[in-house]
Amino acid sequence: MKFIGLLLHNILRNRRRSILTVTSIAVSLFLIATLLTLLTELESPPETPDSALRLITRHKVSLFNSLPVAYRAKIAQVEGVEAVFGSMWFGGVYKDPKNFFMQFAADTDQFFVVNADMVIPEGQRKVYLEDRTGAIVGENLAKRFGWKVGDRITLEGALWDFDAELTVRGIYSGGGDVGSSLFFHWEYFNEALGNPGFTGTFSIRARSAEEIPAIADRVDALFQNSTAPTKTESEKTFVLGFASMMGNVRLLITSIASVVIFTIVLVAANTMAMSIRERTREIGILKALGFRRSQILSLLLGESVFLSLAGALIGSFGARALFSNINMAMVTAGFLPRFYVTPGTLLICGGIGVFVGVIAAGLPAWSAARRPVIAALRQVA
Amino acid sequence: MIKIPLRYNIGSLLARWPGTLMTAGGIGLTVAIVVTMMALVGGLESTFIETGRDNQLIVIRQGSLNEVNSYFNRDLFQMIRFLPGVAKDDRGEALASGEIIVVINHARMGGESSNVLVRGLSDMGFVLHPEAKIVAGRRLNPGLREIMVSRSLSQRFQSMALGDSIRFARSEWKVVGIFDTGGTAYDSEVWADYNEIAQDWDRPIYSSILLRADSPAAADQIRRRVADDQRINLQAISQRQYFAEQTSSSMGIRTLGFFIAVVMGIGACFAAMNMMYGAVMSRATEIAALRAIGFRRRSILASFLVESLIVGAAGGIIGCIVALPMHGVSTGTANFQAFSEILFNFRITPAIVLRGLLFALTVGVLGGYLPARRAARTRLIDVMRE
Amino acid sequence: MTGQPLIEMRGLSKVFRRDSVEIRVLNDIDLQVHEGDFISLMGPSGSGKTTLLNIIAGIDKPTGGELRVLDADLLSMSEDALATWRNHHVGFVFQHFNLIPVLTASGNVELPLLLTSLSRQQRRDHVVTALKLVGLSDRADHYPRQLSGGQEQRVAIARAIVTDPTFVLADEPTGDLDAESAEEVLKVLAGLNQEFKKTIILVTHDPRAAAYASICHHLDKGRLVRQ
Repeated sequence: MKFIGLLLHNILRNRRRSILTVTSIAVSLFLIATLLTLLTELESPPETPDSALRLITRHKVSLFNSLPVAYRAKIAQVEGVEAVFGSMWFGGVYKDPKNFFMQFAADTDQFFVVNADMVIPEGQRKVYLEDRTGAIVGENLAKRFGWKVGDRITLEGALWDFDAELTVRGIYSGGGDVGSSLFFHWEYFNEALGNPGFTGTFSIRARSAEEIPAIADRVDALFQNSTAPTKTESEKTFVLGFASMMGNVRLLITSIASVVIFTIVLVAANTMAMSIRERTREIGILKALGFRRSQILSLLLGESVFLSLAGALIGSFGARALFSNINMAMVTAGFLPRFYVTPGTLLICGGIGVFVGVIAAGLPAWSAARRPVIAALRQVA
Repeated sequence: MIKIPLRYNIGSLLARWPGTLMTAGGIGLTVAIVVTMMALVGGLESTFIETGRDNQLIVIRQGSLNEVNSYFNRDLFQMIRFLPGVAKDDRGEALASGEIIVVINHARMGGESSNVLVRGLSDMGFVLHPEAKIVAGRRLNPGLREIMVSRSLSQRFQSMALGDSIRFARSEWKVVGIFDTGGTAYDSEVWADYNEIAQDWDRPIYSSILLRADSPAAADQIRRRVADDQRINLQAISQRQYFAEQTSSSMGIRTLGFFIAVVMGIGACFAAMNMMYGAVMSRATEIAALRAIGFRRRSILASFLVESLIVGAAGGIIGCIVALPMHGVSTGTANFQAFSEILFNFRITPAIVLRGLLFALTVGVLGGYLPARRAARTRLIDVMRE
Repeated sequence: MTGQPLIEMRGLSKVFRRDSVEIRVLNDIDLQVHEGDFISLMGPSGSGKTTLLNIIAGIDKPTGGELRVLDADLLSMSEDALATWRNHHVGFVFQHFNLIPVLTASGNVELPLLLTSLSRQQRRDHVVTALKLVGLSDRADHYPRQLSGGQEQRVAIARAIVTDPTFVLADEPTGDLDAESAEEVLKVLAGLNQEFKKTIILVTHDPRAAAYASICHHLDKGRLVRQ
């Protein structure tokens, strides 16, 4: 298409303006790509084949209420349950209350069966299971505090009446929390408190994903009328519950994104208006030479879309490049285990670029294409 | 220093009004977003900062970060309330109230569930929470499964209107009163009788004790007494300070808001720069005329900077006006510390408006600097020698 | 016409260098301008007349020869000093008017006065006088787009004389105008010279315009030829 040459020439004619426009749009699309990714991550937590088979059972009324550890045996016998372990939120303080990270006292019996997506060297796993005061930590967590296997860690009891004195026996990666937590023996926890025999939640591994709703019903039915009724749901639903607690994030993000898009349209429109106004005479010449209105329109639209799309692609791919080089799991202490700018998001950003380009050129291009040749030629260059 | 009349700048901006408007509009929308985010964070934080009365202390477990995960023996209440310095009412009763906190899961109007904080308190508790004004219904009666909910909660959650009943723990609880604490953190709570809650949850403990001291000095004294006593393992915090420390909930939103402000600010700078370069380039001969008349480079630079400042200011005003309707809009988010929902309103204060305007002016200056320099560098010769 | 010349140049030359190619724009110019002179510089395009004007105004610098303008050593003055000097001594009239479109006629004429320390009232008075001199008192509040070509140029002249400069430099002032407007403008310039003894240097390629001047110089390929 010979138009491409003309198009590029026009864009390169005022290089500074083109660069500033593209940059401004790129920055805004970078933001939109980031916001869209945040939304995606909050609404679709990472899943593995193993995590898809997990359920969480908690006290029906509140996550804070504990469940009798005796429930475990009963849950294990429910049809469809392959393995189950109980875990308790420890919530201790490591040196400074500001050093927040997830800590659980989990019974060890079937821990690794349910958490089959945790990757840990066999040797470390064995040592952990055998050491009552041992602990395993996620690799991101280890990186954050510089822990190595063999290190001694003390977690000051904030919620519970004892300090946990632990030894790091293994470092794991993967798992539902993407290597961001610390686990130690529930047995040690229970003993230190005088064997009260309670735990916080139960994690269940289902035989198959299809059976999950049925399993959830069966487990809850078991304890329906007891003093500690339960609520069982898939791990994914459980995690999403936290995100929904944060409020209507979706509304906030889409609102901001919409306003940002509107802003970009203004920026692009301003550029196109400036550019077209300067070239009124030139456009008149093109028409006098025989270019049809539709061709002029396509040319101007093409320029506008080229600039906007270029900005959109630079911004969104820039976001992708940036976040693939940042360990978001570490930066957010496991809150955002993954921050991946998906191809879908990139496509949406590209679409926004095209959309903005068309709208921005819209009015000035249309009126320029329509202006009578003689009026255009009369304009002083 | 600015000898070139403002009329010139304003006239030039008005002559090219579409471009000026679009740029000011772009800056304005950016300011609107920034102001809204500040109003969101400000509203959340002020909810905490404005909670708490002087001379009142909250006593919780040593090592607990807040009431929700604090628990201690009921016997300790007797010891605490007779400490010297604890104020008494006119009947000689100590102004101290033992309270229990539990968290329930309840559905919002839209359908999704969220955690809500329930506070079990005694009659004395109402005395110590004078900020709670009953706006509908009546105070709850002890010994019954009656609850009072805050006005914000009743508007946001299902079945929390006056007369409704909700089910949690082992029973049905009836909403007999709606209260409003004027924007404090207590506006996110459900209140019930202490004994009923302790019974239904089978937790004969206290989460916290709220007490009033005779004076600031007395408060200090009580605080020290509690801290020094190793056996009881408790800590006393001023009620104000307790809530002020909970602002960490806003951390996530703050970071997001800051990130957005910076990125959008940069984008806006480029947009302003683009517009000003366009203006400078098209006024090359005018600028040459000014130089020929004798205006110095400095004056030209200053003049164009002022012009971009005007555009920035216009954008700032537009932005604040656009954001204004958000003031007072109510919403809620997770108080991760208390693991429940905290309700608050968007709050646009004069300080926020000022910061928004400052942001706009900064964008104007940063964006306009390079073009202004370019204008000042206009070489007479280049223009004269057509 | 008597006394020390306001402007004196001896052997003045200006050479432009572009990519190792030398262009001699002005070659060995000897020229004297006395107070009250109305001089026209004629010549075809590219003959260097605008360059000569620019040098006299201190906008450009010669590459050779001597130049004395009003006892000032233009070659050693800084940009800022030159700007101030120009403000006091030179009134410039361009071919393309170069009025600020967003200011009224008075606003435009007032501009050079903003660089002085005159009070607002004093500035007003000067502007009114200048506009009267060019015959446009009734157009004081009009914008350039509301004026004809000839009127715009007269406003430009008013702006050029409002600070009562020592001399007025006009670079093709009638280049863009039709015959009638051109005559209007030239009559004003002539009037300024005859009545107020203003020293005027007029650059033009139009012989009819040059006729209004009392002294006519020709420039051809950078050399001066007196008529």
